[in-house]
Amino acid sequence: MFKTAPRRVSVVVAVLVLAVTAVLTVLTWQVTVRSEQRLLARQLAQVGTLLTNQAAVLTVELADIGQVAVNTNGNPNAFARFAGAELRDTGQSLSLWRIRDGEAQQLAVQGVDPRLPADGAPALAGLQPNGQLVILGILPGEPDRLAYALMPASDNADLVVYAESPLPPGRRMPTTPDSPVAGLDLALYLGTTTDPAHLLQATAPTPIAGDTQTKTVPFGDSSVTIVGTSPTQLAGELAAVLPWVVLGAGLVLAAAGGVVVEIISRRREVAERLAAENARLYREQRGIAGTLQHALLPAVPTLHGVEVAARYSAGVDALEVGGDWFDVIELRPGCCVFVVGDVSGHGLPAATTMAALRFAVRGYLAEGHDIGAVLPRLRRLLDVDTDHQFATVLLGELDAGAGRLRLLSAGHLCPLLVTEGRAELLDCPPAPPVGVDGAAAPQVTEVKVSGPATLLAFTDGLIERRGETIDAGLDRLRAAAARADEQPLAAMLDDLLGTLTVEGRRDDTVILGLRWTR
Amino acid sequence: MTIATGPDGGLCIRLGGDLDIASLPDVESELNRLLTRKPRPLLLDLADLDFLDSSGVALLIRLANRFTPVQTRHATEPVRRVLGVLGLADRFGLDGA
Repeated sequence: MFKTAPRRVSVVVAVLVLAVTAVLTVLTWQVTVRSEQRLLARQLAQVGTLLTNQAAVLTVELADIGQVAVNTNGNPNAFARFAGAELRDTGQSLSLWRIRDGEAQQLAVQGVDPRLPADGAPALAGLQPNGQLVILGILPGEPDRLAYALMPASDNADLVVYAESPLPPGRRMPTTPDSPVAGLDLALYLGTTTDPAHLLQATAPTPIAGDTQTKTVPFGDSSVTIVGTSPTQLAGELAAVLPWVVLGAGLVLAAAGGVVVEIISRRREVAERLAAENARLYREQRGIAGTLQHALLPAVPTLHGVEVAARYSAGVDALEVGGDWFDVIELRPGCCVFVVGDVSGHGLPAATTMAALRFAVRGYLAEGHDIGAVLPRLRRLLDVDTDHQFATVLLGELDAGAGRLRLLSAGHLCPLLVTEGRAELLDCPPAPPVGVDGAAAPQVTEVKVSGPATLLAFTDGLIERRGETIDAGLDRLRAAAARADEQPLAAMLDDLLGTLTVEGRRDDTVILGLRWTR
Repeated sequence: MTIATGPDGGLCIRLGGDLDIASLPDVESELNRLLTRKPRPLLLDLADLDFLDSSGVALLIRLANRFTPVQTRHATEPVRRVLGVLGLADRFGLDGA
């Protein structure tokens, strides 16, 4: 899905969700295990209760038989009648013994013959007349038997009821589905240990495998140890799979969370890349606009006797070329014509009109026309009604050697003359701009100038500010120019451009400086 | 921009806000409709005009070329100076020019 490595944030999210999943899974698992253990303990306790009950039943049986024997003074016939009724299955042995002088003497037998413990009759002689069930152990044989006995409680007690019950083949406990032990793996051991020799019976192969619990309950004068486990979930299948459900859901969540975060972070990255790309395109466009503008504007010429410098500054919308221009054409050494103009509007239409006017001025001058004759000819090139543009143009002819300056303005701002730290706005009554017809023949203004002096011609971008009159801007320029007059011409123009233009202005700006020494 | 017909049958145009390259598209279609009207005297009321750039001036000149004579009233000082520097004060019949 993704071609590159995942983001760190996605991995962190996935890992966090995985960690939470792990904790939840462990907790769920522990709860499940604990409830399983509790349920198993409860079942083992139930089995223990059953065993205790069974011991009580055996006690009552033997006590009943013993009581009859005591009452009949060991009459074999009475024993046979009573014990015969008590015999529950084949292979069981019930016998009646009389203890006299530490010797045990068999009085009667029902069922199979008793096998007797290894220590034989003396074991019986050691019994106390307390009516308690005494477990004598497991007797090996075919089949193995559990031996137990009881001496009835009576004053002249000398009778013992002895019984042997066969253990099931292979010690395998028969179970039915509705039995309390159904579904459990159980093993019952005689005594308090799980010695295989003392195994009574089991529902599964021994030793019981798995998570077993052990419980010991009294059984007659001995005890039985129950070892059990549950091969299936006691709390149900859902409880068994719950930890896995939690784990699975967590894994899915981790993956989904990771992927979602990844997608979001990549989207953001794409957006950032697009923004960067847009910024780059903007810079490139601005570069193109700047390149075009400078291609349309002339190189600053080197003249005899007059130092020339010029600056062009794009407006805030630097993507667009502008319609401001300047030009300097040398007529002869020490004498030049300079032009500063401003085509209304912005963009390519303004720039192309500007270029046309600039080259037209050069053309008319090359034909030998005076600036007074150039302006009427320019007017033929532009018509505001059809072109929706007009242009302000300042034409000037500076003869530095003769100390003469001739000016002609078509709606353009007059230039500023700076001499010896004083700046003065020259007075040249403007004719209407180029593109506006019906204008009378313009008057050329002639001014006597003596060097050293600096003449600054400019476009309105340098002085215009929203909400104030042009005069305020002109005053600002005059003061700034007077202050900056000491500087070299190029530095002076940079200074003026830097201090006078405001951030965010729409208009482009041209400033042209001519400086001569005599 | 509000347009009305004066008592003498002349055109009365009242301009407000900024009239510059940014706001030009808003009034361009209205202006093109105006420029198809029969020539008649024009009264420009610039009392509420705050800002005027060269693009706005171009628009005013086109109006003035179509509708003559032009009288301009109530122009603020910045606007008066813009028209004055352009040598267009007479052209627009600025009062007091």
